[in-house]
Amino acid sequence: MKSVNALTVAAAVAGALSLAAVTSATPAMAAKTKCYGIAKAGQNDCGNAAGTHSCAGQSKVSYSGDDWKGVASAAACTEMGGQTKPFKGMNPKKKSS
Amino acid sequence: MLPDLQTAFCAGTVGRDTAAVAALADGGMENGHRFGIYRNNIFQSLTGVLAAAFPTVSKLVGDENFAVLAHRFIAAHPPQRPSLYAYGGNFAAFLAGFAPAVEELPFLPDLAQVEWAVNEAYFEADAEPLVADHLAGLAPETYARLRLHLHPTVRLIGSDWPVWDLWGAEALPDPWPPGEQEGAQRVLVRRPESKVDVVMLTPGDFAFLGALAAGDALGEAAAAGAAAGPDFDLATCLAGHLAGGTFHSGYTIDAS
Amino acid sequence: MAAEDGMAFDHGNGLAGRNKRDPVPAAAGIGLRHTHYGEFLNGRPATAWLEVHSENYLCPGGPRLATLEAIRQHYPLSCHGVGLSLGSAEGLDPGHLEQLRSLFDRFEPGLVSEHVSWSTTGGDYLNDLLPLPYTEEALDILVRNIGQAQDAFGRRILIENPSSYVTFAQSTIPEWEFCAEAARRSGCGLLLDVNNIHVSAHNHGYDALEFLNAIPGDLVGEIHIAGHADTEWDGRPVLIDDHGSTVKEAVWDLLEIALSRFGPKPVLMEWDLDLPPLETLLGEAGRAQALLDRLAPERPALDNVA
Repeated sequence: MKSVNALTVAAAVAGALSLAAVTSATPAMAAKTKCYGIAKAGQNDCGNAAGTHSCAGQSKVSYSGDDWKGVASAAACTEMGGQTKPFKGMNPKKKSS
Repeated sequence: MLPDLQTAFCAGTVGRDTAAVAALADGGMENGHRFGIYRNNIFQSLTGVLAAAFPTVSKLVGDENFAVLAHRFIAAHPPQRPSLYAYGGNFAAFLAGFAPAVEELPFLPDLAQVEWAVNEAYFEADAEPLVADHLAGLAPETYARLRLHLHPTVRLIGSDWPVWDLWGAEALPDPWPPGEQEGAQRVLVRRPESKVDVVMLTPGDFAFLGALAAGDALGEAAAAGAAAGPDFDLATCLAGHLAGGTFHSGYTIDAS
Repeated sequence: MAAEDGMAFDHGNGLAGRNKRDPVPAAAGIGLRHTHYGEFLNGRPATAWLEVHSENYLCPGGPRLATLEAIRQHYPLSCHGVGLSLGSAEGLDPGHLEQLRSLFDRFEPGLVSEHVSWSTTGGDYLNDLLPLPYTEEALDILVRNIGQAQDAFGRRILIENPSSYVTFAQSTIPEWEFCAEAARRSGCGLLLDVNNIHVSAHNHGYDALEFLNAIPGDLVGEIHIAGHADTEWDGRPVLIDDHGSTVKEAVWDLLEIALSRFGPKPVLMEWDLDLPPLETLLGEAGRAQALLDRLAPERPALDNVA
């Protein structure tokens, strides 16, 4: 198996530790990171990742259609540069407002 | 007898088998016109569970389409244990096999994988992340024999689609993202403490962590990283992941 | 977010606080839902005790458990199960029993409860509290399963009467006798949900008072109240136990009768659908507390009511 040699590894570890020592927070290293819970304003951070159990029933009737409606209309499907682009302007939020 | 009644109830609810409901009514179920309340409770509550685990998928396809996906998934794969935090692990695979959705939104299964990784990381057992201080006392001559292990909350997802951009999106991308090599993104999910990070990785970083996950030593993993990305730098990569909490505190030193 | 700041994130285990297995008092409590975590981490909302759904805390780790750990330091706790499926003909899931046992060992709840219903068949978990026919066969199965659960937990549990929408002609035992007999035979107690009594009585045309009058007070360990929806299904009226509103007056009346008959008991206000601000929940619990104070003023003093 291919491997970087031991001296290089040792030097890199030493380098990483010295990098950590000079900048404890190392903001430069903070690659593009998103944080769960922060994207949605007002949502409690330690709230919900999966749905929760309850002992209550449902008083509203759920939509029970079986057919995928599609997020784009057939008319919007156009071949552009060899790639199908059925989505242009098909923002569901815009559509529903 | 009770076993038959319970089997028929299951067939009539998640199985949506009308003959089973008719058999229950023939067998003495009273107010059978209300049987649908139970079916509604089951499908709607589990749809809510899936929508909470896959909020971006739900957002991007819209409530009605998500209900279609969820109902088909629930009927085909009802929960096998009463802990719903663990329900939905095979939703991404189900999506990959649901042609109407992937024909329109080919990135959907990969996006679902990222969301499931977030869900898993959120509920995974807590563990102490490795920080630079843990290694500060090591003799430099042991550095080359250091073996790092990923934090148990870490999940790695490579995709031909820009799934890091898509994760958390409020609306479908416009213009439409390129697929294949051009739009490919690699994602690291981890929860070193209480918050889940969703990190976009370079190809080199992704290959490096993947090799560590497969059990490779640092030297081998660094070679894999360099092969995948010419700009891969082991020192920078290690410093970043030590700061971010990607590794588990339980490092080991190989025998010399 | 502020909720994070109040959370002690500890990789260790165990409850360090003062409330080790403290009893749930005969006072009004509320269900703890994640929407209200922040208020409980940042303050001490005035409720005598809290109840959680056990299955929401069976995850191996993460913020949800850390949050409960932090809040548990300040309130007596009841663990209310929704997934054990005590009425399953195929018996209980040993793995689930084991996980619940670990949860109880860690959080030391004063009360542990489940339902007179079933959810699992053929290994599929249907995530609803499904109705049993009230037969000798079902009673035997229920009693056997309760016994297995109590053995696994090393403690007595309470079983709750469910809301139901269908009944079965093969039932030979009235629901109230079925519940009371299951408790007598298994040695467990009853969690009397007076909203469920009202909902089922209305849906099936029996008298709620007949139910209440048949219950021996010494078996009752807890009472639930909640809102329900007065709605239609298939074009015909039905009450659905949706825990999505304030308690209806008819249910307050039943609570008053129950407390008069049974004496002081822990009373829980449940709300699951469209959760309101915490104040609304505390307001409903406050009304229950006022009833307790009027009907049963001898309740023990509580040191954790702000």
